[in-house]
Amino acid sequence: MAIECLVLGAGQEVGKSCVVVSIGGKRIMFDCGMHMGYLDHRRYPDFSRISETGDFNSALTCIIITHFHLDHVGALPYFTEVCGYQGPIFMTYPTKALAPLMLEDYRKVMVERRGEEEQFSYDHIVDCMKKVTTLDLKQTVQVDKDLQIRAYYAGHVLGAVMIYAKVGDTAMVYTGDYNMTPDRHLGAAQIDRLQLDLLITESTYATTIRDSKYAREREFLKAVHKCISGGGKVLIPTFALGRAQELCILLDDYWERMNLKIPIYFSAGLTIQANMYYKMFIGWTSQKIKDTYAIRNTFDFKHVCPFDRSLINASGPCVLFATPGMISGGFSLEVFKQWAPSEKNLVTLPGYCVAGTIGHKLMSGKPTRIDLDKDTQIDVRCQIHQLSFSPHTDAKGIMDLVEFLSPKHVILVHGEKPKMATLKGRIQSELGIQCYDPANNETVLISTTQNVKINATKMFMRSCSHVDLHSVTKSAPCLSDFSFGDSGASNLVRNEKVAEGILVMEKNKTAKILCEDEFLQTLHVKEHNVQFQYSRPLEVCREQVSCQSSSGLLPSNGSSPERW
Amino acid sequence: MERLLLERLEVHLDPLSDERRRLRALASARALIANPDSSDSTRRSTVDALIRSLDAHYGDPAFLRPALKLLGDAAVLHRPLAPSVIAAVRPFLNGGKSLAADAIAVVASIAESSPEGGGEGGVSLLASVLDEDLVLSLASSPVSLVRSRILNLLVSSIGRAQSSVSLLRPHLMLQVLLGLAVDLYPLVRRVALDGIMAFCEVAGSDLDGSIIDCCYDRAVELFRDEDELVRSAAVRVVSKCGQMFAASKERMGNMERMDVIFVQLCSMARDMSVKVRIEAFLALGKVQLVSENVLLQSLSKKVLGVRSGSKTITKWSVNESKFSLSAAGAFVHGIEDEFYEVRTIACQSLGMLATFSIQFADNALNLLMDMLNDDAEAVRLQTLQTLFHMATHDHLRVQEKHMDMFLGLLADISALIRRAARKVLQLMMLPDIETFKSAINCLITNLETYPEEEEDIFSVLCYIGKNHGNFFAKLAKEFAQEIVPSCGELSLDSPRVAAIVVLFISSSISNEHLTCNIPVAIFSYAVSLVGRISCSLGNALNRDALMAYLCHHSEIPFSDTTLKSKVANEMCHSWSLHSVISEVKVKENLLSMNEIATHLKHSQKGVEQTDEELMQSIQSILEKVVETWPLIKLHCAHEVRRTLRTCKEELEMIAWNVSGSPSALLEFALQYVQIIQLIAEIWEKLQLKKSHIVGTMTLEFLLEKLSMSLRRMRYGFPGLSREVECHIIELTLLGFVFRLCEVGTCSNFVLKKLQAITSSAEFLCVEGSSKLSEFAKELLRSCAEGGTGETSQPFPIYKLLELFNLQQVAFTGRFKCIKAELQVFGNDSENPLPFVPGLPVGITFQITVHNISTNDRLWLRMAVGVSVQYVFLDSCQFTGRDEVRKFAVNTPFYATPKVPSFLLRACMLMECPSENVTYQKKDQRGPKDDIFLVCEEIEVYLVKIDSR
Ligand SMILES: [Zn+2]
Repeated sequence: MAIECLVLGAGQEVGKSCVVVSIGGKRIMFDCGMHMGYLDHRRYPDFSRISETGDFNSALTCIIITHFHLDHVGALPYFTEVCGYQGPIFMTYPTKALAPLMLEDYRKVMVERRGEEEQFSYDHIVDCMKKVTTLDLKQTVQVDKDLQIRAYYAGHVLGAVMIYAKVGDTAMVYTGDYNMTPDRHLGAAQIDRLQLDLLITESTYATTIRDSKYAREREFLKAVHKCISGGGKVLIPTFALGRAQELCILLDDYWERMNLKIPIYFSAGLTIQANMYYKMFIGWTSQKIKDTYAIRNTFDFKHVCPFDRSLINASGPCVLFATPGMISGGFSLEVFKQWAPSEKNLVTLPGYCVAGTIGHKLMSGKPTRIDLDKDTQIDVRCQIHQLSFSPHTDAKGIMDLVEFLSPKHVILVHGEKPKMATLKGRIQSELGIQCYDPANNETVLISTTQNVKINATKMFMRSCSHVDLHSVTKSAPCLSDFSFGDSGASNLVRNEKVAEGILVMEKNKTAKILCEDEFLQTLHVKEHNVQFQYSRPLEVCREQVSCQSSSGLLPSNGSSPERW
Repeated sequence: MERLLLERLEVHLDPLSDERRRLRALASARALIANPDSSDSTRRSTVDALIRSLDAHYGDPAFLRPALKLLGDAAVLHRPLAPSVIAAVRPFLNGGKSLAADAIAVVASIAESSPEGGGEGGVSLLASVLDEDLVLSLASSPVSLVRSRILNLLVSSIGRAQSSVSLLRPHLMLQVLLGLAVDLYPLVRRVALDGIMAFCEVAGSDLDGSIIDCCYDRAVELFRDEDELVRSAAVRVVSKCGQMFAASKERMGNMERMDVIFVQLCSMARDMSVKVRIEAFLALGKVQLVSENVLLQSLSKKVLGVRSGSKTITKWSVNESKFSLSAAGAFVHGIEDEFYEVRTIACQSLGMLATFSIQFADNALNLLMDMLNDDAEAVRLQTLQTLFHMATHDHLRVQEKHMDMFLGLLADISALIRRAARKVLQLMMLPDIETFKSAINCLITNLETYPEEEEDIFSVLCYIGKNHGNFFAKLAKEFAQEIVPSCGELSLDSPRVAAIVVLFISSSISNEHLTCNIPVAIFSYAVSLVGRISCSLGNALNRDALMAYLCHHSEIPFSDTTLKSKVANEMCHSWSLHSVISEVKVKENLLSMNEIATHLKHSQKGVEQTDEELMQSIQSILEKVVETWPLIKLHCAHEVRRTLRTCKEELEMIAWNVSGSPSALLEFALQYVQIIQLIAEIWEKLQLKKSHIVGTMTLEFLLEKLSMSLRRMRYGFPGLSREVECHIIELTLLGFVFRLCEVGTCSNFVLKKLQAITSSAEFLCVEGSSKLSEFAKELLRSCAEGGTGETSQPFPIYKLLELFNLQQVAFTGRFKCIKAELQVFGNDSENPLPFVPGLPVGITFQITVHNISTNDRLWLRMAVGVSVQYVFLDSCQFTGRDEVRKFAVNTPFYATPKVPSFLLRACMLMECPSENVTYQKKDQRGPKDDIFLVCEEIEVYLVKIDSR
């Protein structure tokens, strides 16, 4: 059996994750994302490659979405409502809850702000979500007779999973985005030791090795603490989901420990709703939050209160979380305009900002003045702190996962081309595993080993399941003290197991292995003993010995016994 | 009634009756056996009937299984039935069919309940039923339950059996264990691994290298097992093997191998299972002899260049780059782990490894400092604990960049954290004057925010002042200006001023040359702080001495001028030289850490070390103590002191999370370390004496302390093994030789006593199997000579001392510890008891005694200055017969002095049960000469009734 892997998106790039894998006649689409960097047709995966006729329902067995990020779920409403896919869709509970928030937010920005023609409507989103079947962690779902899928915890964002899929003897894992180190609100990715033919893994940080998260946290806390003790205001522009919660937990905890009384504000809107979901999906968060939520739900932040617009110009220090993350507009821009001119204040920036946003301008060198448009200019005198938190695993984590799973083949997606090449080299040389980094719309063909299944009798299984200690014992020298020489010692570990049985091809063409003792019974024959006698002609003059000897032979009756 | 039931039983047990009836018959048989009113004969006939029915039902497991179980229960309930039950069950063991599993269970339960408590007796009983062949055939039975049961039986017999009886000869046992370690069933694999572990433990250092190899290889194979519990067990075995390799004779040849073990354990530290990770980090902390570059690799996720000397690596068939890769950053991952249990242990192990390499300690410190910001209190505490551990090993080199985070902890909301942070700060050497200043400022802020922690903060200030005299000298002027205002009075109510005064005093005491720079006024201010300061210094400085010192410098008239200067001098001396101070503090620290530990105990339950492991670590510490002997002989006093101090700290560290049984061994070990410390001191003193005379006063004091401690060792731990007792007696003899050495001659009394002890040593050695050491033999000979001839030649003391050799002894922990606690409720310096001078005062002591038998003679000693009063504590007063008993004693103290207030020191003593040669002090009502302390001395505060 072979695996055919068609990469529709995130091949040698980051964005619009979408991989279609065919195993044993089944075709699964992993993720259905959109590319945020394009506004033309390149924004969506080229679905026509799946089926030229556009009959996606017969071309695909199912779609599985790993998490709610738009580059993993963004194209889904388009695909189902516009392209007409009606088959099964799987995602986890949190993803199902949060993905519509993300999609709707994006749609609004696209349509209302940029005045673009809408690709899908609000109703599309709602209808699309109705078709979704939910998955739980480690729950094995039998999609159809042959295809079996299971979700494993991936960290990254709330509800993110890695997907294990199995058809017959062929098995694979698609990781989606994952994080091997836990953060303040999510645990580390967790998976069983599986026998895999293929692993498709993200490779955002294919060459980066990150140091301990404590250092990042310390830098952040130090900057914030310094600013507020100097009476300044801290503006933390974030995405609504994920990073905001993590930073908030971090600050809330620090406030608690250091007994600080300065207010932390959360700007209204999406974030409040998201917090509600986080409180609901406690089971998907980190161990610490799970352990303590009975006493206090971590997301009921003690020191956090909702922000009121009138507080923007209130005196005294404070910390404010505001969306969107890259200060591309909205509330964070409004506050930024007010606070940036004071050198007492602090603005933090997320690790990645799209070119053209204010965040990006602040990141690339420290400007003293930003031209918002022809008429508006902002004096920037405040301090800037760049956050380096990231929900993706680093190169070490990827290597660790690959080594832990030790699959037969690895495909890298979701990364930058040159870095992926480096990682590919490492996986091949250090771990000795065949690795590929296909570009978009390329297909990788992987041949898998063929296993022949045979049945075994209970007795045979038993005979395999234990070691005959007698056989070892008798050959070992009997010494009573603790040292028994080299030969004795090597005897101890040498008891490799040998199971003996007889392979029988039954009438229905399935092979079966059984014990010698059961053999005759299976064939419904009696045991015949053929005995030989020495026949020795007595000749006086010449001594001639003709003797034959043989062990008991079995009568042949059509089936073909073989020694195994 | 019984008869009737019996008869019906016989009928119903018939194989021809229907199944329901037969099972009901079994139920009534159970009732007959279990009923306490049944007569013995009824029980016997019931059992006989059952046994007969076994044969009749051959091949009917539905009946046989419950019947066998019932027979087993009967034999456990009524011991006399056991032989016939065993005989009846015996045939079922053959053939290894599934009924054998039930038969094994019966035999095991009988053995377990044998009168000897499942000890040696149980094993011999088992051995009589199961011969080697049978055990082997059962162990290779195709039925997994049989294998698992026989394996359980074997594993539990390991360690119990003395050399005389065992189920299998060692090599066969090992074969079975190794064979079953790759069984199809995870449960069997796991138990087999536990068995290998127990096997290694029992065999100890006798085990041949090649055998350890086998165990090690098998365990490493199982590192990739599917079952997490098997993997954890495998990690434990590998860790144990590592320890054994490190302890073996060819340890140096094993260096490369230790690296490999370390790396393998590192790779397990990335396991997906929490349990395995916990085991792996525990194991990493115990690895020794790892080369520095491998250690360093575990702190960095980046691969650090190619290791030198890579040729030998190939021997272990480990790919070079993979080698570094799997070690890379194990600890970075460990401290970032999702589970606080893993983080805690990773942190602890970091501390253990930090003692091996300065470079490692430095790099680890960067990680540790970051962990101070962890969200789990347990982890922050452990981090502080680890820092403390590193500081006591002089491996804590903080840099300026660390201080921010660290000093931040002083403002932590948790009092435990603040306190622990201060303990670390106290031992820290600050890198530069800026950090010194910010540390002082943080402490002052700390004092302002939490005035109730004044005592602790003052004490830290004292230490910082003392340790950083040079920094302080530079800042002294600045500080002085700050607190002495231009116009007179300064307010000691301000915490800031008080703190700075404390700093002045402490640094001037330790750095005499600073004294002249300090404004006299400060000393006089300090006088009013004397109570608060001396309190925080605890035992290090006593209040009067401090007072005298301050008066001396502030030029306030003090009653006795000679005393004044003498005291002051002595104090400076003791302060700067005496390591005892810091030891006392260290001990205190650990005690307070102990408090912390109890807070966290419930949360740490899962990861608590087992008793076995504890014993092991205590054992290894004791070995380390004994290893100092050659150094003592070579007069490497400094080195010895250091090692012993470390040992003591480690023991106290262990005391952390221990309660219950190992505490006797712990107590013993602490006492033992103290004795070796004393011996080392005395040895040093005697050496000095050879060259020039020093005050014999202190030597006398040390000798007295030594013999007191030795008596405590000998009589305070009932149940010591003979070997250990011999060991202690030898030490006692050494004490006497010291004494002879000091006096120069041999008084008749000492000689007699010597003879008595030597003969008891001889007696013990004859009784036991151990041999008398050369030292004891020589001493015996000398005594014999000295005893006969009056004008014998002088004792060959130096020869004897040369001969003495401290030997490794197995301090097995099956003994108890006699000890007591003394308390006077509600009494402290703030709440003294009232008294009328010259009249007796009644004091109520709350006493808790542990493991005291009715024959023991206990005394309460109360002392004020030179006047001492003994009170005999009648053992009938101790209510109850438990190990721990509590009672109150109200006793008068007669000789109240004519002073406004005084301090009474009280402690409890026990008479040694039978020292043959004693001499009673005639005119004294008190215990015999040979006594030892069973509790810490406490202080009782008393104040004249009208001066309150
Ligand atoms: Zn993502």
